[in-house]
Amino acid sequence: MPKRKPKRKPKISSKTRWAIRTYVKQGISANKIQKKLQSQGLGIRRKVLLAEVRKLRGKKKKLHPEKYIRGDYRKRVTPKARRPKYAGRHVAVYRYARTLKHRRPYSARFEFYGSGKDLGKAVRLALSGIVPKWENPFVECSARAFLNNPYKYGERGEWVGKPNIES
Amino acid sequence: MANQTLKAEPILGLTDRFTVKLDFDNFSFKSTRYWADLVMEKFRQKGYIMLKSSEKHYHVVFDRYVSWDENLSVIAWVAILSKSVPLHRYLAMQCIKMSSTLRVSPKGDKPSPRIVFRYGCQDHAIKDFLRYRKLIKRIVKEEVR
Repeated sequence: MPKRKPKRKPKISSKTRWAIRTYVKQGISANKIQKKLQSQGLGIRRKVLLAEVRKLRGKKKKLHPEKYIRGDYRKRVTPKARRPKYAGRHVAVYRYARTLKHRRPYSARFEFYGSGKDLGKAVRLALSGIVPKWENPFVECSARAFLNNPYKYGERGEWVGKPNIES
Repeated sequence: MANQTLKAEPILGLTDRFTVKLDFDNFSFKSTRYWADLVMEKFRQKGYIMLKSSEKHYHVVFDRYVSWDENLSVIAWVAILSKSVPLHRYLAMQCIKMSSTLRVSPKGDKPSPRIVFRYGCQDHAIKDFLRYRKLIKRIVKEEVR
């Protein structure tokens, strides 16, 4: 199982942040700020610097940043939307479900990840009669998030067997 | 048209992307072992365990961690060569979900799958699989009480 990554250090030191703030107030461009920082031995990654400058100038985050990446590089990384939320093992709770609103059974599935204790509690909560919503029947979430707010991911209902449809 | 559904306990299973898991439906013990041995040889797996889920239904879990692409490649290779329709269906379902799942809890009349055969190294993916299986079984046991 992949090991949990250690907590990252902040990308910008307070000294660098203070310097950037001063330069931005003076109206200096990001290129020049980068050169000045480098000459002072405070150089940081350009991506981080641009994000900080954008934040200080009160501009919004750039939408669709991947469109600025060269095509063949872009293909190497899986788009964020297609990446799973958590790559480790999940405990799946699945079957058909129905709620008061939707009496017709629909295929539903919870996939929980997290520590053993949280997983146990989350699974027990799901077994006690909380089923995924009809609008979003396949839910992948951390066990703790589910425990904190179960009605965000599911609603009251019951788990049922495979429906026998008679026509 | 009428829907007849009975209240039932949900099924608990184990899902991940990096362990090769195969679901053999309508396979004898011998033929399941044959395919598991073949996969071990072809895909350089270190070991495997076989679990019997019900009569003529077996699960196989392999020990070496693989990428999702390789995982699908193994399942597809077995499905095509064995010409097994349920295995094709299993492959399609795993592709849709983008992760592979095996059942751990009981399902209706079927008991939870039990280990019937072990072969080779069991220290990596199988060890983790069994650890999570134990956790799920404990939850099921407490729920029954």
